[in-house]
Amino acid sequence: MTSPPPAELAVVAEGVEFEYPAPRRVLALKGVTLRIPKGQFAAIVGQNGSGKTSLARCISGYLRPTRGSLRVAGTEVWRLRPAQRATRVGYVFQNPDHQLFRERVWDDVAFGLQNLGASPDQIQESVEQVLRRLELWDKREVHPFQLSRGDRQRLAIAAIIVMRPQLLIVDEPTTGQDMARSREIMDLLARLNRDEGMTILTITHVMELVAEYARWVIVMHDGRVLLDGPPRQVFSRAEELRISAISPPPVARLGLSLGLHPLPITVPEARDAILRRLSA
Amino acid sequence: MADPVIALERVTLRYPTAPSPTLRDISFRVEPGEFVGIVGSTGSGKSTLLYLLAGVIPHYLGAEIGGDVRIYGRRTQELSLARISERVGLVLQDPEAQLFNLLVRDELAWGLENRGLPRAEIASRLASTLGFFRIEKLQDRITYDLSGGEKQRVALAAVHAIAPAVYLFDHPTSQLDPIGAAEVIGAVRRLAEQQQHAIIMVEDKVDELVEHADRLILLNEGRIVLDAGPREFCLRKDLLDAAGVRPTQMAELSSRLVEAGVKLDVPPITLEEMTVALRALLPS
Repeated sequence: MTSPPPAELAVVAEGVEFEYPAPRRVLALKGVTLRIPKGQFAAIVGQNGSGKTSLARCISGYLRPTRGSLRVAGTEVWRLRPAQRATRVGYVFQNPDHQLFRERVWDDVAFGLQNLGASPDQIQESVEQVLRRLELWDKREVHPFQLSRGDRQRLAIAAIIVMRPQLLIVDEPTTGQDMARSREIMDLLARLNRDEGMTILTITHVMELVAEYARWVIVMHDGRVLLDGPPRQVFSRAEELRISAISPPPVARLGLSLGLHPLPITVPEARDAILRRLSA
Repeated sequence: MADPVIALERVTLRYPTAPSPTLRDISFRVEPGEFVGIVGSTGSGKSTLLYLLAGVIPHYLGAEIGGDVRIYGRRTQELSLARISERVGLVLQDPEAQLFNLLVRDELAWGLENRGLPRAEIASRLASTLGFFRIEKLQDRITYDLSGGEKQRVALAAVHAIAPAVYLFDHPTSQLDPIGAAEVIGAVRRLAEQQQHAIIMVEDKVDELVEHADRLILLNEGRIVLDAGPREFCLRKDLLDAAGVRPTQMAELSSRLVEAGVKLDVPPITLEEMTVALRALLPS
């Protein structure tokens, strides 16, 4: 397999290590090497404490690797000034309340562009476009803390994508959301990926959503990449996944124990695979 | 017969500024040792129901309440919040909203110190709680330095230390990985089985509730539309769809296989059941 040229890669990590400073001194990343092509929809999975968030924060440039190299769109991202970084990579926090701080929905979305030095006309146009797209336009005058959790999560995404980053990192977008809301957010990420070619990197524990939405899965374990590949391939490696305490979606586990090929990872796939076996 | 731990009789609740009631005509009972799951989409009234059971409503948040909410036969409106909190422990969804001490062990001891328990008693409860949740290693850590999952376990442990009779959980595993979630739910199951605590858990992960809960209650727009054992609950696709809730993957697969004409006498709802049923049907 030939590797894509560097320009086609959104993320290139080589031997990335990261140690949190004293007093904790935890070595959170112990040598991460991975490539994520542009336009990919990737998911980072792994146990609590496996290094998922530390890796995502190194990729976002918030954390500077202690060792190794980490390039986003060809550049060591931590070297960039915040304004340059913001158009390359956007990071949406797990808890939207850590990110939202203005008095009105509109102001929270405009803040990033104001800092990038955009003109008032540009700001007006971009903010309106993003708010309409994320169905928050009617709530533009509302105080963010009066929004529902689902709306706040969308607002946190709006405030980042308004700066048009090439790579969007979303940390646990479905925490505290019911299944219907979780799907809405994943659908939104899928549209940004498909329509605008935005590379998506999401962290999640919900394997059913990984199976349905992601085209690439990175399994972290103990500060390293244990496995990466398309979901079907990753979920078929049950032995290795056991080390990382990741459990494939129930339909995939059913497929493994019944020996179904190709391995079903969604409910419709499982139904079709079983019906085929029954009529065989 | 002794009073049930919790008894709601035709309860209706409306917040002062809300145009319509958040809870409508809610009746159910919970017995000691029973584990009840509450499921419903965002805005269905799940959290309100928990706050009502915890006495947060009406003692802290005001609301217009009709009907009867009783804990061990006593109306919560007539008990003080302090009295209610001796019997009812609430574990919040966002652990950061619950943890406020610097060190984990101070967080766990806080409720006990407030009750004025002797030092030796506090130390022994602390040790047993740390062991029960397997968090001995966290006791000297700073609470705001913990990962989301660790915070969730510490918040749960802090409530356990107080030893309430009823536990109310608001999405206790939302930040845990699948193994961590299974561990927490397993520990909660033991609270019910071994210690006869009543458990009421709001949770979106129906898969986990089905494995452990005795009953599941489905809320839709403030009403109970289904109160049933796990299998009957999972197979009421019509009611679940209307409420915007998905059953377990295996229950969904069961429904789809039955639609396609596959004969399943007892529709499986768990992975184990499905594996056994299909092994019997499929040519090997």
